[in-house]
Amino acid sequence: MDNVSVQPREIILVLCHSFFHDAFRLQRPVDAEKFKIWMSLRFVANLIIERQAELPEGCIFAVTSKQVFESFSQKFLGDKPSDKLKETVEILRNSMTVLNHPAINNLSIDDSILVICDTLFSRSNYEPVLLSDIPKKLEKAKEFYQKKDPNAVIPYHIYTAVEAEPFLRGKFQDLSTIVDERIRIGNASSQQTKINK
Amino acid sequence: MALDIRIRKVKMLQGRAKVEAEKQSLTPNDLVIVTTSVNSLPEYHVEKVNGDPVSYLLKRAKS
Repeated sequence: MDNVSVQPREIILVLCHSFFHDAFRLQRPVDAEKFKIWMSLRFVANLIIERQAELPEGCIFAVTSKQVFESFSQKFLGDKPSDKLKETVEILRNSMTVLNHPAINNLSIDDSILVICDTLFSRSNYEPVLLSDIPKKLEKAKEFYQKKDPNAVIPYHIYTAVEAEPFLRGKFQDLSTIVDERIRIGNASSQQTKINK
Repeated sequence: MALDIRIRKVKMLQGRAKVEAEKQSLTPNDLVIVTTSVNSLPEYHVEKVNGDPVSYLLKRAKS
């Protein structure tokens, strides 16, 4: 009889650079399809912050590589960032885990994310979900795994923001309700500000 | 520059950060930006996040 009990894997989101650049876009997209993606990204980004805010220090819900986060923060901050803008980047950095390890820092942006996913999956206590809106990411992941074994399959999900939203709503139902309510309040407040102007 | 700045739920706060939140009559599920600065002793500034955190942060950054 095997005494080893199988613990359910904890979901951990692995964030590719497309997530950051689109979720924290300052302007709402006008194009209907882009708007739908942006709405899903906003939901996921809010869920990440909401979840991390209630986890004990040291617990991880979302992770990315240093290269990915720095690529985002450099563009977001621009040439002469205000203190508030710098604070925003620090708050976002503290709402996730940004891995800073020489073995990962030396990899390309794509490979850094795939290595993180594989490492988390192989440790067995995490269910990594790679979030990416780059269609080629799936091909990159296949190439990554098939370098060593032509029959290898990707052992975790790769979701676009629109695919990730219903998945996360199913896994985090109560938290999703809170996120929706906060978004509703935020939208109402923005509308009121526009009317007052 | 702050030593640390992050978003936490009020119910997760302890010690003097919790006292700061209590002064503002916040509820346990409220989200707050906790700014830690050091002035001989650590000091905690607690700012309520109104609405969803992403929109709030972007608005705050533009102000």
